[in-house]
Amino acid sequence: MLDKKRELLVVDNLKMHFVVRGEGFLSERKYLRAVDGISFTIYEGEVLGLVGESGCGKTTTGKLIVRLLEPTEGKIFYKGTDILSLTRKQFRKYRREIQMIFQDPYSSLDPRQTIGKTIGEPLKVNKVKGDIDKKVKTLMKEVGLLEEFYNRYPHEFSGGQRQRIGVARALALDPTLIVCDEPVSALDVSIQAQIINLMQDLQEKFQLTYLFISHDMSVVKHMCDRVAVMYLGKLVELAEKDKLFETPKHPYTKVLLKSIPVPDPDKKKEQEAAMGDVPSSIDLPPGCRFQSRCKECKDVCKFVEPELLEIEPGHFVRCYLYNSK
Amino acid sequence: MTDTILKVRDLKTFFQVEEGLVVAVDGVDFDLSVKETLAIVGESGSGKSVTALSILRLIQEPPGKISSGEILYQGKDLLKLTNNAMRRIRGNEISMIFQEPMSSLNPVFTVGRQISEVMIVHEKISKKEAEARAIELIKLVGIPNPEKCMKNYPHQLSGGMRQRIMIAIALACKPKILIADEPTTALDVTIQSQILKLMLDLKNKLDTAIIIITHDLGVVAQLAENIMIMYAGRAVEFGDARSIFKIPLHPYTEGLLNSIPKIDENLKRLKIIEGTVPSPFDLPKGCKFSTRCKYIMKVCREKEPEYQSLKDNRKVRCWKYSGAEENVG
Amino acid sequence: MLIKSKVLKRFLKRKSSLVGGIIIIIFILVAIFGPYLTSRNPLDIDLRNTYQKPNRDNWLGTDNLGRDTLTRLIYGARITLIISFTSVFLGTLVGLILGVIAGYYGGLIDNILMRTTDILLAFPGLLLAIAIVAILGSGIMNTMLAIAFYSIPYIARIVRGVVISIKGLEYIQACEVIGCSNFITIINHIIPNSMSQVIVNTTLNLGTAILTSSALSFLGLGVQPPHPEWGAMLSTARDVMRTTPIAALIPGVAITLVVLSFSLVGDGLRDALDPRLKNN
Repeated sequence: MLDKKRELLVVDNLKMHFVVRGEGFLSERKYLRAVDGISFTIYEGEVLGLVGESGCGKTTTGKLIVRLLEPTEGKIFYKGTDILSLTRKQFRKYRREIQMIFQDPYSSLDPRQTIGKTIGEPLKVNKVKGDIDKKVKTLMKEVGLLEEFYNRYPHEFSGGQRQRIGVARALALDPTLIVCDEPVSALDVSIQAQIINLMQDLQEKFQLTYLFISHDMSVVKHMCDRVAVMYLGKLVELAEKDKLFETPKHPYTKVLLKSIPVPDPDKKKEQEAAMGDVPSSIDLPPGCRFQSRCKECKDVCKFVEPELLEIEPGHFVRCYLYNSK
Repeated sequence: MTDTILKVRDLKTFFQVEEGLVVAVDGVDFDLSVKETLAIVGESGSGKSVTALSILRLIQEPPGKISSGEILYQGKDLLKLTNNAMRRIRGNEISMIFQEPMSSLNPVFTVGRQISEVMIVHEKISKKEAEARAIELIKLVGIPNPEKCMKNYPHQLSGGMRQRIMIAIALACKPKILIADEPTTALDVTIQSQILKLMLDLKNKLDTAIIIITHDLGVVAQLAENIMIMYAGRAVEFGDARSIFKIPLHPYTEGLLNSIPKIDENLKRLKIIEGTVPSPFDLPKGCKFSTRCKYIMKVCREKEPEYQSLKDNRKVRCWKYSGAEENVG
Repeated sequence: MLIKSKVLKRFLKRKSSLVGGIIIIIFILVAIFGPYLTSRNPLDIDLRNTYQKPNRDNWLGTDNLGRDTLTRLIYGARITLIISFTSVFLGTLVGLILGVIAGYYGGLIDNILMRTTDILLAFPGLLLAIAIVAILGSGIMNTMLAIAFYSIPYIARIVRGVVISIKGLEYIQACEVIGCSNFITIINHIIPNSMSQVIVNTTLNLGTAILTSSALSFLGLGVQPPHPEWGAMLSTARDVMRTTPIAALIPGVAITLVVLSFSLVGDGLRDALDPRLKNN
């Protein structure tokens, strides 16, 4: 079934290292390996979830894909074209097809622009032909905003409505792929559900492909077709949603799933917590990144980092426990 | 009940801001027994944090003011105490932990000093004794190598560690009540589960009653015995955790429970609560939830329902349960 | 516009700023309509009537050449207004452009621009102005240029800081994702959102500019006699401080009052526009 799907975006060994200053005055340059060699494919029409804890590099990955950041290394192919090798001008026509929805509905809207202007801006700067006003109003209707909001300012709206505005802006250019960077995590519970439903409706209606970045496993499970788990700049597991949630392989994925508090008092579980804290991604020790917190850590884990292997069709894991295959 | 330690009656707190008057908390009633864990659940703007701050009288005045109500702690009304008497209770008998551990810790003092200081101030013990107890506390909150941790500054610790230190400070004087305002919201899932485990352990070990304030129903289900749901400054439902999750009475509670995606369920679409929380300057006249309620009746728009007691120690603020059905319009 | 009316309301709430605002409005009106307020010529010399105390003919007395002080004060307001507004406008414009470029692009350009401003800021403002006038020569035009020049680094620094903080916000990233060019992003988003800071600092700068232009004229480097300028008037009156203190007092009070008013208005604007107080 996988081969029938068309590859939309292929990420190949993408790396993003930030220079950070060492502690002393003349100390060496140190690198924060925010994204450290990740590869994955997004197929047309799917929702790929990218999960992980803060600092694992998931947001950086999203920003690299929309080219808000230039990677240190690696390639991104969109419909077969290596978009990173394109100049700004050449990239323009792809830019329209890859859009982004941001996390914070408060800082993602210009406080001095009306809603209509904000949504219409992508149309205007890309010189889209036709009646922009009319298009903006259609878009507003599409995301559940009333037409009379057109001339209002963002500060008059609640978080949920602001996020709808952000969604409308991302939709304006008829994109194919939308990178959704924690689009609901800043919202209240009852509003989260509204936005999730809206995003699902829009996906169906416009045949969108989402890269859905989130730390909330429940939301990811609800939204996504496949899920990729990141830990300290690397993918540790990637699989179809049901496989990942039912038979997680990587020890980190297991811990992650066990950590979610279930909203049911009868399913109180013995809180099986992961040991310790996430180490800093500056100066990582050799070997597996998860070794310091892993219960099944073996000697080999401390020296050589395991490869991301396909242990079953479509199920990738980076762990020595599954290396025999 | 004889073992009630905190009784809040008809609490009302408002803020005078430029745009007008915001009644952040309006009519909140609840009892807290010894060793009980009560969760106050609500979305932003529901007044849950203001309720907690009001109990400790930490509302800044102006712009805020606790305008009416009673907060009876072991029989005495905290609202009638002098500031000095209140200061002796705060951090000593009732203590609080906040959402953002970094901003609650003082960056220029070591962790050890901050923990021992609470005890020196409240219990007038020697520095040595305080430090010895601080090490015990750090051990209690599950930090390995407490002696080393004593000498650390907050910025040297991770978010989860800081929250553990906050809990240690809050527990330093063996408080009767611990108020935790979104204690795990700022933390990652795996760290959150560590802190939840810690709080569960502590709850069983100590005789502290806990009020946990959160919007995360998962956290509530894991931790709380009783739950109070708040909406637009009102308490709208109260009951024990199990029955609230099984049979939510108030339409808001029902909607809230339905709208969260659950990890062990496969739903095509989430059931949502339509609309948004009304602005505090423009609250509807009758029931505050009437603008979003799917069971709306005529009376709901006209008159606000009472917070009434039902059987099994449950309470709800909704016309559905008051024989008002004949008014269906 | 809801935002603007709110700002106005907040501004008017502060009594001191309101008073400052009224004084500034009077100052501007006097400067503009000066010639209609008095029929005299500020340059008319009357050697029989030197150093008069205030009387029915000369409400504020006369100076060393018997010229009417009130008339000179009114015409002086004109010159002061022209010098301060033009120079501050010029300085702000250049400072804004440099600040935006430094803040938005960062890197090498930022480094060069900011190190240059560091050097300029190392000189006391007045000293820098004096040096410039000394090079260019005195006169109204050069005074304006000097003041404009020395206010550039201040504005550039402030704008750069504001731009850097705005640049990190998600809506600027959104601009890039939807394909805005840098120019459009700067014009449509960065500058409008840094405007409130610029307005506040421009207002405060106006006061400083008046002070500097007066100081230059007082030292004989700015506006040249016989043009009526407040600093020059003060300088002339200096010789007779003992005998006719009123002659020095009047331009002195005028300078103080206007400078203070600009300060008060600037403070009021800052409080009214401060985003931290907004929405809370």
